[in-house]
This record gives sequence, structure tokens and C-alpha cells, in this order.
Amino acid sequence: MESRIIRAVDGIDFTVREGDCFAIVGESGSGKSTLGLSLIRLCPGDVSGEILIDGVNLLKLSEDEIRKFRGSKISIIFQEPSSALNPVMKVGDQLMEVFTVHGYSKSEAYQKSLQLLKTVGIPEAEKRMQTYPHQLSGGMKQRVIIAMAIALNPRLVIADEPTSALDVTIQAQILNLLKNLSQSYGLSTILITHDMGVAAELCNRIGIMYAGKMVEIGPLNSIFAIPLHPYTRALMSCIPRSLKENLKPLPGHVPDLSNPPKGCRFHPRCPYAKEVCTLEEPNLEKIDDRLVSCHRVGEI
Amino acid sequence: MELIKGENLSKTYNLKISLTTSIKVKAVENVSISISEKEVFGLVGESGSGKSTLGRLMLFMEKPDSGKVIFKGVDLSRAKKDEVKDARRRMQIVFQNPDLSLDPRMKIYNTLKEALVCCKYKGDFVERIKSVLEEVGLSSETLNMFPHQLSGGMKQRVALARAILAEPDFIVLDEPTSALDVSVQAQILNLLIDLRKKLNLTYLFISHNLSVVSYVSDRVGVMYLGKLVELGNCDEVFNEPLHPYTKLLISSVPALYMTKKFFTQNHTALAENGEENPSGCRFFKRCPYAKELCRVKEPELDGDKHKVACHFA
Ligand SMILES: Nc1ncnc2c1ncn2[C@@H]1O[C@H](COP(=O)(O)OP(=O)(O)OP(=O)(O)O)[C@@H](O)[C@H]1O
Ligand SMILES: Nc1ncnc2c1ncn2[C@@H]1O[C@H](COP(=O)(O)OP(=O)(O)OP(=O)(O)O)[C@@H](O)[C@H]1O
Ligand code: SF4
Ligand SMILES: [Mg+2]
Ligand SMILES: [Mg+2]
Repeated sequence: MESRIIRAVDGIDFTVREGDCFAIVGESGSGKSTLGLSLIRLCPGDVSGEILIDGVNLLKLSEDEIRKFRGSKISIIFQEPSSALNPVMKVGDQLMEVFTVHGYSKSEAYQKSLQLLKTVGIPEAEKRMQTYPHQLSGGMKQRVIIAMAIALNPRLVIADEPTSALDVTIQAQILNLLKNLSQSYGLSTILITHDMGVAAELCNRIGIMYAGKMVEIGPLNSIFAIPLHPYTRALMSCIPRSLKENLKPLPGHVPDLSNPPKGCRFHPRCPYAKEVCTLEEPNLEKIDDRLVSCHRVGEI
Repeated sequence: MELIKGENLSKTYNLKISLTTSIKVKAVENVSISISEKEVFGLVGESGSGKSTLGRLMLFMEKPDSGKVIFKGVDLSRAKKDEVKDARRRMQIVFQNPDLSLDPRMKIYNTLKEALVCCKYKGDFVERIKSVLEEVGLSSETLNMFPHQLSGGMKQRVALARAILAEPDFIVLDEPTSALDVSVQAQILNLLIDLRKKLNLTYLFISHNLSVVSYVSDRVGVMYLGKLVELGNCDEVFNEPLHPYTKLLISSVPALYMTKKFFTQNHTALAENGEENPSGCRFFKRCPYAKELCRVKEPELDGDKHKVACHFA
């Protein structure tokens, strides 16, 4: 079995291995969701490069083929639990539909759905099959959505802010569930989040996005220990951690992506920017265990 | 010196669940807090625990069903209309979403001018507005802009400027940074801390984000289903929490922000939305330490400086 599951999008070069969790972290409007959607070709804009899953290039598949691919090989979970479920359809029927659409009989679908609800930790699963989404709490809804996403044993799940709408206690629960799923089933995950802390709970590799570009990619632990890109550094010192450690805010805000700054997109906010940064866009370059795009990375 | 005190505040809402039926939601029940001058009082708790409602009650934006609010020694439920009006001006609120609180059709200057008109400011409007704008870190070019031309952080600065123009003593900050990116959140948090020092402000800082609250607060209160379950100095509550619910909250925060974990077992199982326990402790169904007493008897908030409502804490 090919262990490398996914690779490369448009100058954004990353690999997710089997059972691994890769985090895409960036502030609002940095293009995380767009990237997530383009990975499964749900994004209208053109994507160049290649997206390889188990050696198959998604960009070369026909519409029909990609439709089959979604759900069975790769699936996506969105932030807002309420919008992802049909409000007028019983939870059980929605789950069963995933199976019947793929050729399972009604009774097979029922058994499988029941099993799934148990897998994602929903108590009294039989009863829950008969309830409507609004009768479930936010955390329960998110579990049902996760159940639907993993129903057909995909190789990769893309989770776009799966816990941002939830209380911190429920968030911990859902992260725990995702962690268990990847450990027990070798499921690979791409976690999209604006929250470094959430990324750290679940992931072993991380890519930091700024204004539509990846600026640093590598093992989470080493990036958190010694961030190399000026933006990653700035982000780390913006996080209110334990008590009363002083914050060093980064001035300004994320630029509008319809008109990003020339040269390095971070240069207007970067304390290390030099002339070259305003003129030339830096490329991702390999430095030790990671990729960094900064003209001055060796000097600072 | 005490600036504001809420005493035994309670508020129940009728929540319509269908055309014919409604249920009573005890949003806040018998909560007392006292906030000293220049203090930052943080309020944490899960969604629906009653934080915002308590904030509105403290401001007297909403009348409590029972209990009273005493602001600078004046009992607002007994005060004359003028006194209440005057007190209301000295108390301001800033919300999570500046888009909802700023009029999209109004230039920033007019929005801010309104605040000065409201408080019957006698001096030069332009001068005053410009100086407050500088205080919140905005340039005077902002004055001619509309809200949609500003970033989220800038809008929140405008909302702060508007609050400050009324020269308040007390500001309720209801999730003031929850809609912002971390980089902008850090800017606003530091700004809030600076402003407090410069203008001798007192804050009630409401947030579901524990690390943010621990960064800005002197004291914190923890709410659960309408009740205050723990109250104390920020450092004590976050480092040595007494209530099992506080322990659960802190343990659920990603380790990057708070490293303390108070449950070795899989504490996440406790996060199930517990139904209310009608007679005893509200946390009963989720609590790993619960005993029979907890089911039948509601614990009182008890203690000296560090208070907790738990039979076994
Ligand atoms: N590489 C890119 N180049 C130019 N525009 C982009 C790029 N990626 C995304 N955009 C545009 O930027 C906007 C924001 O992108 P997106 O919603 O993906 O951000 P996000 O990081 O998911 O933000 P949020 O945290 O708010 O969900 C969208 O309008 C999108 O079309
Ligand atoms: N105007 C209202 N009418 C009916 N019910 C209300 C009203 N305001 C609040 N509630 C209910 O009171 C309870 C407490 O709500 P409140 O908004 O104070 O919680 P909160 O702690 O601020 O939550 P969040 O973190 O989601 O803002 C909730 O159950 C809510 O549904
Ligand atoms: S390339 Fe220049 S502007 Fe960009 S991050 Fe590096 S030093 Fe800063
Ligand atoms: Mg997004
Ligand atoms: Mg609220």
C-alpha cells in the first residue's frame, strides 16, 4: 500500500501519510477553506499542479470519477454542524442514505449506520436514529457528521474547523474522537483551523498559511519550538498562554486576497522586511526538517 | 473600593418552543458579584450559562426578576429616573460583533458624534473625538469612512472609542475579541489593558476563552447553568480550581494554552450536555465526584476569598 496519500497544490507542497494528521493553520481569510475545497475539486477556481491520493492524480479524473472518489476515498467535514445536516430528515435516514446510494440494501444500511453511531460515541444509538438533527446537541450533531464522513471508510478526511462552533469541553471530546479514529482505522486527516492549540492537540505536521500561501511546513513540535518564518514567530507570540505572559501583538491585519501585496505577501507587517521582500516573492525552500518561504530565513 | 455590586440577581426567560408551549429558562439564578474600582472581573462558562444575561443585568439594561444592582453606592432599582440615566451613561458595553453594533449607513464620525450627543458633551466634538480615536489607535482618516471599509479589529476599536467617549467608569466587554484573528485579538487585548490603566476603567470581561480571560483578569467567576459555581483570584482559580466543573473546563483547553490537566481519566466523557438536576447540584449528572447528597441538596457558594459551590470541594 502506498503510504503517501496526498501531495501538492499550486505551489503548496505537502504530504499526508497514512494515519497522519496534517494541520493547515492560518487566520481568517488566509485561504484555508479554499485550499481544502480545491483538494477535493469542489472549488471553482483552477488548480494547477497535482493532487495525488494513493498515486491517483485527482486533477486528471473525470467529473464522474471524482464524484465516486468523494466519500469513498476522501471526504470533508464542515464547521457548522447545523448546515451540514438536513433538518427535516431523521438522523438515521440521512446516515442510511450514504450507504443505499452506494448500493447497500436497506437492512445492511441500517446495521451499518447503527454501528457507525456507536463508533463515534453516540449513546442510545437506536433511539438517536429516529431523532431529527435539532433534537441533538451541537457536539452530537458534529459526531453524526463525522459518522457520515467516515461511513465508506475513506482514506482521507478533510475537517474544516470541525470544532470552532463548539464549547471547549465538547471540542476536547470531538478532537479525542478524531484522534481515536485515525489511530484505530489508519484514517488520515487534514485539519483546517485558525487555532494553533487545536492543531497541536491532533496533528503531527503543520502548514502555516498566510494570504493564500503556505509560509512554513513541517513537524508541529519543531515548528512550535523554533518557528523559522517571521509570520509563524509573530503568531506564536500573539497567543495568550498561561498567566500574564506578555503578548507581543503583530501590527496590522491579513490583507485582502483579491489584492495581495507584491513580493512577499507578509512584507507590510514583517519586522525583518528588506527591499528584496517588497519586490520578489519568496519560494518554499527546504531547511532541515521543513519548508519555509522567506528571503531572510538564514539571517534572522 | 467597590464600584459595582450585583446582589442575588435572578432572571428567568420564557422560551417559546412552539405556538402553544413555552418553557422557563433560568438564565441567571441568585448570583452576587462585587467588582472593585480598576478591577478586571472575568466571567467564563459554556455557551448558555448566562454570562451575557448577567452582564446585561449588571448594566441595568434589563431589570432583574429579583435582586439589586448597586453602582457607586446607589441602588439602581430604587433610584430616580435621572440617577439611573446618569449611572447608565457611566456604564458602557462592547459586544462581540461590531457589525451588529455599528450602523452600516453611518460614517464613523457620526457614529461617534452620537455618543457625545447622548452624554451631552459640552466641549469641541471634533477635538474630543480625535483624541479618543488616537487613544484606541486609529487615525483621523477613519472618521470619514463607513464600517464596511474597516477591518474587524478597526471596527472593534471604533466600538471601544464610542464606549470611551461617554467617559464611563465601568465597561462590560462581552466576548470583545471572539470574532477576531489571534493577531488582532492580541492587539485589542493589549489596548484594553492600556486603556484601563490610562482611564481608570473597571471591566466585566465576558468570554468563553479561558486563556484570554486568564490573561486580562484580576478575578474570575465561573458560571454553570445560570449559577456562579466558583469565584476567586484569577491565578488561584486557574491554578488551583476547586469546583469539578472548573477543573473540567481547564482540562478541556488545548495544552498549548493551559498545560494543567485535572483529570487523568478520559475526562472528555464528562462533557455530555447534562440535563438539569432539579433538586440538587446542577453539575450532578456530569460530575465524577458526585454522591447522593449532591443529587438532593443544592450546594451554596461558600468560602472567603476563593468561593466555590460544591459539597465536596
Ligand atoms: N490562493 C488564493 N489566491 C487568491 N484568493 C484566494 C486564494 N485562496 C482563497 N482566496 C479567496 O480568499 C477568500 C477567503 O478564503 P477562505 O474562505 O478560503 O479563507 P479561510 O482561511 O478559510 O478563512 P476563515 O478562517 O474565515 O474560514 C475567499 O474569497 C477566496 O476566494
Ligand atoms: N431574551 C431572551 N429570551 C429568551 N431566552 C433567553 C434570552 N436571553 C438569553 N436567554 C436564554 O438564557 C440562557 C443564558 O443565555 P446567555 O446568552 O446569557 O448565555 P451566555 O453564557 O452568554 O452564552 P454564549 O456563550 O452562547 O453567549 C440561555 O439558555 C438562553 O437561551
Ligand atoms: S521574505 Fe522578507 S518580508 Fe517576507 S517574511 Fe521573510 S523577511 Fe519578512
Ligand atoms: Mg474557512
Ligand atoms: Mg453571551
